[in-house]
Amino acid sequence: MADLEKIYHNLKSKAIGLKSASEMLPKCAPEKLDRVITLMREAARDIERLLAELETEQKS
Amino acid sequence: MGKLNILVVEDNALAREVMAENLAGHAVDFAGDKATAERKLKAGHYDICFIDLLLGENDDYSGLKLIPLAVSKKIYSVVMSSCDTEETIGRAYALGCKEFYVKGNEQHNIAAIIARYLRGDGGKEAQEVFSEVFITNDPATRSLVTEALKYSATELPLMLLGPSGTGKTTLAQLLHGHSGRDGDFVAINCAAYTEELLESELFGYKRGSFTGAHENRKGKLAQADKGTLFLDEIGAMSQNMQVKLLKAIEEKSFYPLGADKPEYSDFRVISATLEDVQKLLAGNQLRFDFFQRVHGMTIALKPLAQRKCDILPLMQAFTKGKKRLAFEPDAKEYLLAHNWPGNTRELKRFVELVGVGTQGSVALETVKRHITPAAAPVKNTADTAITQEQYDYALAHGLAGAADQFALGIINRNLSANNGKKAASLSQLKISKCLLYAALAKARKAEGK
Repeated sequence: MADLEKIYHNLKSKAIGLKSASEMLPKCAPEKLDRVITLMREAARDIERLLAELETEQKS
Repeated sequence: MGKLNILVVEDNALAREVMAENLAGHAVDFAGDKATAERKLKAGHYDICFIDLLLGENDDYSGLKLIPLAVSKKIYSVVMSSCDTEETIGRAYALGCKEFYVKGNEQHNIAAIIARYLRGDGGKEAQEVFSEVFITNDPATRSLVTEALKYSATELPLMLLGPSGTGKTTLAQLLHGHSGRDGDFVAINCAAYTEELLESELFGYKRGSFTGAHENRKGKLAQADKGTLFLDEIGAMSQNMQVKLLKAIEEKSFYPLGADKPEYSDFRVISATLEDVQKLLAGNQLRFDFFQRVHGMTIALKPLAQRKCDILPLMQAFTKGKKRLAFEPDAKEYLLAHNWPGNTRELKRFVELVGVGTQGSVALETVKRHITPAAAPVKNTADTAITQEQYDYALAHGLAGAADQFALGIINRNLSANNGKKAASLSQLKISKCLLYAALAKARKAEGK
């Protein structure tokens, strides 16, 4: 996969993951909630990073 | 539903959590990379394997390479990815995966995949369906129901046709059970309400919206959220109500009576009518746009008179856990000759009446006493001996084909009447063993097709 294509794919994948996890949150067991929120934060940071990569890629 | 052994090959920890939540109740194992997945696939015994295509940010579709291994272990392989190009989907199917699932909406999609897997599990579930839920030995009805079940886990609307008592509600419940939808099965008979009452039943109302509305009440649409709304006798619905319901079905939102804000409900529609849909449309009783929205796949159920092979199995089912009934030969013959205009409903009532009032074998007199007199067996004359269905069959398959079919029908009925005892059939029908076995072989071949 070309770099740009990879970025788009990873962005889509992380965003879908976040959406699915947010749908799951209301019924999430309390002992699991902290772990899921931590993972969601990580995914959000990955999205930030991928968007920055996308901007760099488009400028070059 | 039994516990399934499932392997999820997924590199993303958050996605693994989502899968674990949605597969709760099954034995789920995880692999985060290709090597672990290969090891687990080789060592384990899984029913289903969910495979992510890209295992890592710089991965080159290593998930695809796992498909042949999973297939060789006879595992139901489901590829899941957010990369849904036609080329990738084509490659995954070419390698033998059973389903390609685009990530998102896991709650519904995963339940639907499991339902499809269970349906295809060696026909085990199909046998249970036809012997316990929708009882039928009629090959045409079986194939119709099997076809309908393929659509159960989709969002498509379904329309069930057939006279009263042919099992439309049972089939609707069966389809809901196989839909993978978490919500309830909510049924409403549209013919049982006036227009105003039907509106409040369907859409619900807010407190104070009319005299007597002392509290908020959820309507059937709201009750069917994430489930199935079964609209029976849709032909009885007014045009005005059809317009309102059409809007609610399309937008999945509606206003309860007296509400100023819309409410949302994710319901799937199954509708039914015993009337002739074409006549309803021609007579403007059914709006064409409403019909277009609800008819989806149409399933027409045959009356009991056209599937007499179901009479005795249905009787067995109705007496399950109660006093079992045994009929004297002439009583059984009379039962099978009866047309059962009330279909399964009439049959059930008959079984209950006979069950309470008799001891030992049921005699012909008892059967005659409890069968609806207005619908006694029709004496076969030259005109009535051939049904329209038989006549159409002869036109389609020729006279010889129709004669074979007719002979087979008689043989099957007689075998069933003799509890499968071939010797009795040979004697009663005065046929040779050769003819009996040839007819049965033909039937098996036809069913195989």
